[in-house]
Amino acid sequence: MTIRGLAGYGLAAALAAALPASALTVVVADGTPEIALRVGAPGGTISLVTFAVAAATAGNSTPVLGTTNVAAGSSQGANFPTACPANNVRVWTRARSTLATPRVATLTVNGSGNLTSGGNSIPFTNFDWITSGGTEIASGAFSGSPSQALLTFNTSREISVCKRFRFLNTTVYPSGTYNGQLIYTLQMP
Amino acid sequence: MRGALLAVLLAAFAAGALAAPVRLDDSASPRSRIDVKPRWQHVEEGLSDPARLNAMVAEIPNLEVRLATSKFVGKRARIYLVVPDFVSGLRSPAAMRVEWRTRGKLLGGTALPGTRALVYDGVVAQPSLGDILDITLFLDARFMDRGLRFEPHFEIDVAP
Repeated sequence: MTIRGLAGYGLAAALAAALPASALTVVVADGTPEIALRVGAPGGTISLVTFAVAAATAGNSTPVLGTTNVAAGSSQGANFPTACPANNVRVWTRARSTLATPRVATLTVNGSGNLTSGGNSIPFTNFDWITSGGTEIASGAFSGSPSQALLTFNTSREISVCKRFRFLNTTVYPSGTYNGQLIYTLQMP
Repeated sequence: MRGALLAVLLAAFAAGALAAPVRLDDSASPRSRIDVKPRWQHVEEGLSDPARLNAMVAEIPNLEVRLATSKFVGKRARIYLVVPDFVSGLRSPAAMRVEWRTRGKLLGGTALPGTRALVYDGVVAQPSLGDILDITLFLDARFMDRGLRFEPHFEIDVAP
């Protein structure tokens, strides 16, 4: 047994001596994870959704559909080549990472604010949305939470849905032009 | 009879050894370790193909290699760039492709793990053969573990 062991050692040493030195070692770091989000028109534009409530039907609990321009629901590259139905807002998101660092991305919306007109206000809980052109974000209503979860998904993936916003019209508010802003946030710790 | 068979086997082994490629010493190259960080190859929105969604690219520009060819001066030879079949941290050999361009002394080309590509074909005229390579690694993030590492090298086949 001892002799066999010595022979093996000698062979290994001979092989090592026969190999020339190598100068090149390539070390590839892990790629940086990436997230991207589009809500409404592409290019960083804030899309405006308008709800026109007629005085005669104010507060009758019949939802009022929001309207917006074509850009808010325009197509999204090769993966989503068809524009959303008219007056819909596209919500598109992408999160990607390598196999080494799989991540979970979460999309939330801050619906805790109000639409305001002078000293009057309408909370966002008076609005909801109907989803079409995608299933990942279900139809729902704003809860009033500053971080209402809409979607959680694993990397790497792209998701897109079309949303038609509605004013629930359950309360009569003082007349005026009310403005407010929703902020969608995509996070991937 | 047994002795004759052994002699034939030894002769065949010896002939094969002569024809086997020889790994070239590239230790005179200025850089020995190259650290690269990949980026996403496609940044446009709406990537329909999972391969495009997960495609990464890493670039190694201006990599000078110096190959010790003194033993082969005057001989006709072919030199290959070899990408080893085992790439640490890579889950599939199909998930990496190496491409390179040169400044003219060597040939540009492409190779996958476990393959080699011709970079020189001719008479070796100098004791050292060198060139500057611009290397691009094309990677698939779906098969990349942390700590991707490999050792490309060069080997020479000398014409008998």
